Amino acid sequence: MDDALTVNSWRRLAPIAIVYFTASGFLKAANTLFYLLPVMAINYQKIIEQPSIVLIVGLAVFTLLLSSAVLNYIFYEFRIDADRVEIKSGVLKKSHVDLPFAKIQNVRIEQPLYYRFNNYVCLQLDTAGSAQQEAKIVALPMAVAKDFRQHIVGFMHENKTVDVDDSLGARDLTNADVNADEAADEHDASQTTLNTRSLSDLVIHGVANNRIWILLGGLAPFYNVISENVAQVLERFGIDLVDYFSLSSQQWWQFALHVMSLVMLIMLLMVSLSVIGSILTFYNYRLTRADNRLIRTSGLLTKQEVSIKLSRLQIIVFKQDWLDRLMGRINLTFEQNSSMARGNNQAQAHTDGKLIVPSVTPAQALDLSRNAWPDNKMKDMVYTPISQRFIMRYIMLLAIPLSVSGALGLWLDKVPNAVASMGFVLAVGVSLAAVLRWYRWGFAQDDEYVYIRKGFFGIDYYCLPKFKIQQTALKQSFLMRLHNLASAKLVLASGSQIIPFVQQTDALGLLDQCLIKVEKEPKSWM
Amino acid sequence: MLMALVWGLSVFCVLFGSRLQPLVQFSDSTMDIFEMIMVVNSLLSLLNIIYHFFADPIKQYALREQDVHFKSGLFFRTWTSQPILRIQHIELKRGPIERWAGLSTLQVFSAGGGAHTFEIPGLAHDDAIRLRQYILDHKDANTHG
Repeated sequence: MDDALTVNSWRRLAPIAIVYFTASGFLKAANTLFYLLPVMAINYQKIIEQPSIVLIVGLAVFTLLLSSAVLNYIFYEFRIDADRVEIKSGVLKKSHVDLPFAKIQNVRIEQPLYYRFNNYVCLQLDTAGSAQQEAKIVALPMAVAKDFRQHIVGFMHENKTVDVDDSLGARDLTNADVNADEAADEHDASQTTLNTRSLSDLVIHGVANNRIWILLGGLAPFYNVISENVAQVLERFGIDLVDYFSLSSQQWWQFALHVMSLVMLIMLLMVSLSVIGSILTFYNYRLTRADNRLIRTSGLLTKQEVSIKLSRLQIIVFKQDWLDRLMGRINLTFEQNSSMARGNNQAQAHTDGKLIVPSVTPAQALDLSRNAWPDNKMKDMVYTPISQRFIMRYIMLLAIPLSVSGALGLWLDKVPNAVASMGFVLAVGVSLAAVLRWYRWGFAQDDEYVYIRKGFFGIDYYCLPKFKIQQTALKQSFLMRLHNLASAKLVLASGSQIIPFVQQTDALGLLDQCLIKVEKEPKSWM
Repeated sequence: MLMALVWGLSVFCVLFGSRLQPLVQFSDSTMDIFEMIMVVNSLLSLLNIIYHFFADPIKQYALREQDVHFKSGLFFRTWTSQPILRIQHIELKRGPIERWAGLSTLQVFSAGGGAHTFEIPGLAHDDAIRLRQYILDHKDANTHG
């Protein structure tokens, strides 16, 4: 292990951590400010009269943030032992995290914007257990962080049941250890780059996939301000929204035109925001394979690194929405243990347990999936369709009740006819959707894997190894029993997959094969 | 079924008790709503009890060398299979009613997450303990969980 991480003594962070604590304090304050907006709105007039108040309050808040950051920095200590890391933190609310390396599932390196210039990083240690046990060392030099990661990975190699090809990996890792000092360039000797994404790929990804929530999540504290400002700006340009959309002052076609143009405008705005979101997350995307890990690095402002150990990989997903189909692209996702995909923040949850490769071509997607699981035949399988009675379920449960209520509405004349006829429109829509869904849904299996195909307008392919299944279930309603149909459910550590309305014998056969695989060849699913 | 009966009865008692209590006076319209809730509750409880009367005897489990199975459901039938190799930990759960009746619920957790907890309710307590021991011994022999 590197000298930079002296074993067995409490260490303090680099002073640059004060910037981190200030920034995170500012974000928290911005979130609180959101609730103070009404108070500020009421006192708006007073504030305007005395601009010096704003300055004073601003200064006070800044001083408070800075001093709390300094205190946080002073009280933050960490210690790295041979087999565990301990972190003491907190000024008033103390916390002491004691995390044995054996419990660490994932080591992530994050580089916020303000660490970029001096090459410092945050080291996030994920565990499979409760969220309180997560640890973050908030300021380490890049080289030390990489070194530390290698140390933990090396520790995992020594202490877990190691497969034959894993021992090879351990040797390469020591190799990488030596190189860790030069690793600032992010290119370890043992890493091979599998895929990179260019800016145009990201634009395509942004257009085809709604990445808008990345922005929305970040902007959440400022929603009110934004909407107020937008209305004001529009008014300044002489557009009165109320008049623009009033039915009484214009013909219906004018109204429709206005609505349509607004929708177009919003769509345009959303697409461009989505493109920005896509570039923010995936800028400079690089997927590398280091021994038995897949590592993704990307990000414009905050550089993120997500790594998945191949042995923990649970399922490979090809997602292709209708726009992706038009452009001939696929979003490839590698999913691992979902207990790691935690956090209230949707953006956070999205990036945690999954490793996404945005908008690759079908050939690239196949190559990547074969790199992880060489013997998978995702695209070569013949998929068995599910029963047409799947459509019947939706017609019986949704379409018929909808049309009946529509008819009742028309007959009783209690609601406007337009509303009542919506029932029929919805019924037709539901039926068509059910037909599409049925048409897409299919499954296949070979000795090692189960393959599922499903989707709507787009097509998604799932590939999961049989021996990683945690639990199976066969489900059957009364009507399905009459027609010898059943649904098969496969539970993985990353979530469950269901194949509905297949022949009972097929479903039983599939589940049997899976259970045999799990029980006869006891291999670790992690 | 016992659980359904006790649950229905206790909710009824709470409602009825608060109807009769002399401490707080409610207006007539509140009382009307209150009585409606009581009727609806009684009906639902009755349906629940009838359902369990027919559904509970169908609940069955099977133990094989390498896996445990559980079958349940009257209208929507489910056969759940849990390979013992994938079990992470086991719990025996006993509420007051179960303790009184000498029963236990065996809960088996896998990495599939909380939503997919494998559960066998209403086991005789001794059976539950034997079942748990069988699974635990099994785990000792194989450490590939």
